[in-house]
Amino acid sequence: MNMIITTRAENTAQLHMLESPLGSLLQITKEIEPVRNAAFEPTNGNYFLFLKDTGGDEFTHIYKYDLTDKSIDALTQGQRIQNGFPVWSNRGDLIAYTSTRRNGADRDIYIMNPNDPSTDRLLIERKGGGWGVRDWSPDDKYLLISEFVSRIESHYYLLQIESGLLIELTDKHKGEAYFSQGEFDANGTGIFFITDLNSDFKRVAYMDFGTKEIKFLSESIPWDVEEIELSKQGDKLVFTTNEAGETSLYMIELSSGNAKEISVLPRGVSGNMRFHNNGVDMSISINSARSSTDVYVLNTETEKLTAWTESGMGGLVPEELSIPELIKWNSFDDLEISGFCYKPPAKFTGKRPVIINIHGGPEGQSRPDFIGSSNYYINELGIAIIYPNVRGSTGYGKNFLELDNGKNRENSVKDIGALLDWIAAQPDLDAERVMVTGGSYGGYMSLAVSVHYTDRIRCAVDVVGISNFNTFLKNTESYRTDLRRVEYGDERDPEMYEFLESISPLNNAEKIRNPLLIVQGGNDPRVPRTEAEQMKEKIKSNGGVVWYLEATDEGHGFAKKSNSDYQRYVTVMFVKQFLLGDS
Amino acid sequence: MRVTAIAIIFFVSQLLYSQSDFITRGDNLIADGFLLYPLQSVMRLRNILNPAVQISAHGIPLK
Repeated sequence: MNMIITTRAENTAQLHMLESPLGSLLQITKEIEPVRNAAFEPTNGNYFLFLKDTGGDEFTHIYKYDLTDKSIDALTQGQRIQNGFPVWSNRGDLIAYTSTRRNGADRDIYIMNPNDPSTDRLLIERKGGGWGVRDWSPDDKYLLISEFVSRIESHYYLLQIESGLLIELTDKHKGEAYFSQGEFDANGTGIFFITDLNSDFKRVAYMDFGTKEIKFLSESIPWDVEEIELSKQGDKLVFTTNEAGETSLYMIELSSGNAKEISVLPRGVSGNMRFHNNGVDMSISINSARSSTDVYVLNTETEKLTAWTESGMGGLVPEELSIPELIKWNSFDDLEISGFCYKPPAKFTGKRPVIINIHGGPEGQSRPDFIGSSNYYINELGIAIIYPNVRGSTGYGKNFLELDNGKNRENSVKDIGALLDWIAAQPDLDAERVMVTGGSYGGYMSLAVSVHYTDRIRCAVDVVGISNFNTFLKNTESYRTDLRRVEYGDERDPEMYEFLESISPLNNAEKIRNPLLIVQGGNDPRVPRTEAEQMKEKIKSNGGVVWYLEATDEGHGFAKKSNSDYQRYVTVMFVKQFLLGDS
Repeated sequence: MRVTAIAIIFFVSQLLYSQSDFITRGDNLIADGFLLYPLQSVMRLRNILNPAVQISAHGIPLK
């Protein structure tokens, strides 16, 4: 048994082969750009496919790596095209994938024999950028196709490959529900999937194609189901739940319907489950506050968990790393908001300065996981870090997820205002020394908090953040525009345009008196460089303090070690100067 | 005299910087609003800051 894992030994994440538990990693790909995922040809595994972009531009192409002669062939070509990750047919002779090659905005479905790229053909045109391929039916005659609208609405279809006939599975007209992670059952008579249909939380469900009836398989668990994985034989279904940020693991024996919790995972955040073809062994990645991500294999019969990798900690001592505390506070409207607080060790006395680090998305969630080099702020500089999950975050139900949409945008900023009140009430935290930071949407939040609470924070770090929603929607890659309008509002509506103008940090920049560090990738297709540049210029013209760091070979965040190291050093210097007040 | 002292300090700091094995700012980075050289002081923290190897992503198909 062997597996491909992704890790970064040098400048970028690359694929490595691993043939035994804790065996040596044999680096396979040696690309300049990161390679983060791969899929073996499913019948004999003589080659695998992987995706790669250039400089973080997310215009990904599909490549074939032949394990016999180590050759790499590009299976797709073209500029400014995003190809999706290929999904293998059961016979291993075809892949299905999505591509924006027709017009850059719509994501169509294609199939190809990877051994003969000339077989590449368009299967069906689709309108919109949210289309994806989930699975092949056991007889390889149908594809399960998904249409993503938002984190509260998606739809499933069956696509008959020979005729191109599209059969709607989920009732689009019956209101919003989110369907994800669909897989055909072993007989091809139905699909397993995750959905929030008729529930605030996501559950495991099964749909029989004959009746369209949906049966729920995890009703007793009051948390989101996060991931499902079906054994190749179709007899076991494993799923994970997100319980206040931590992962729990369950397994259903499908012949009996019996579900049980498998309590072997260490506390932390786990995912990326993959069954081996033997239907017994399943790989899973596990991460915790005191351990960087490692890959394990679970024997689903004996429930024995075996570590396959042991990540380096680079001199960090696990026992010295802070374990996050779940904290809660009430916001302006009495809504309960929570987050995780990593506190510095006891050797630091007195009230400790605070970094508030807000996640992106906004449909995302901070989890109690490994924060890597950010431990430096805690253990060496004595700073507490709080990772809030403001309204609009995932993991707290569908209603919570929607609370920041459209014109409710700034209510999530007020959640940080309430957090500042909470910090002021803590005997061990220093409300006079607070920095706010975040990436992407968290970058917007850092700017918005700087607008509204500039006198309550010392400084802010905006990483690839939105500074004006209207210019963002105009300039983000076209395959994303409609998907983002669902969250932020449709700027083509004059009233919404005016609203977005009124709340955009760029138009309120004169209120910002705290120093800013802005970090940006030059090729960012999501939040384009122009968002950062216009904010920098505005702060400069207002006479404010702004540091700007851009990597021309990066996208939505820095992925190359040389760049992310430099970003970290700049950030440490910024923190020491403006949060801690060092000269 | 003062000018000489400043020049020597500057020279020594540059020498330390150039002889270090710490990363340098690459051609792909654009910086505005802050100076490069003070970063020298934090670059010594490299070992603390950077875990050497992490399983940073995990497309893990089992053959």
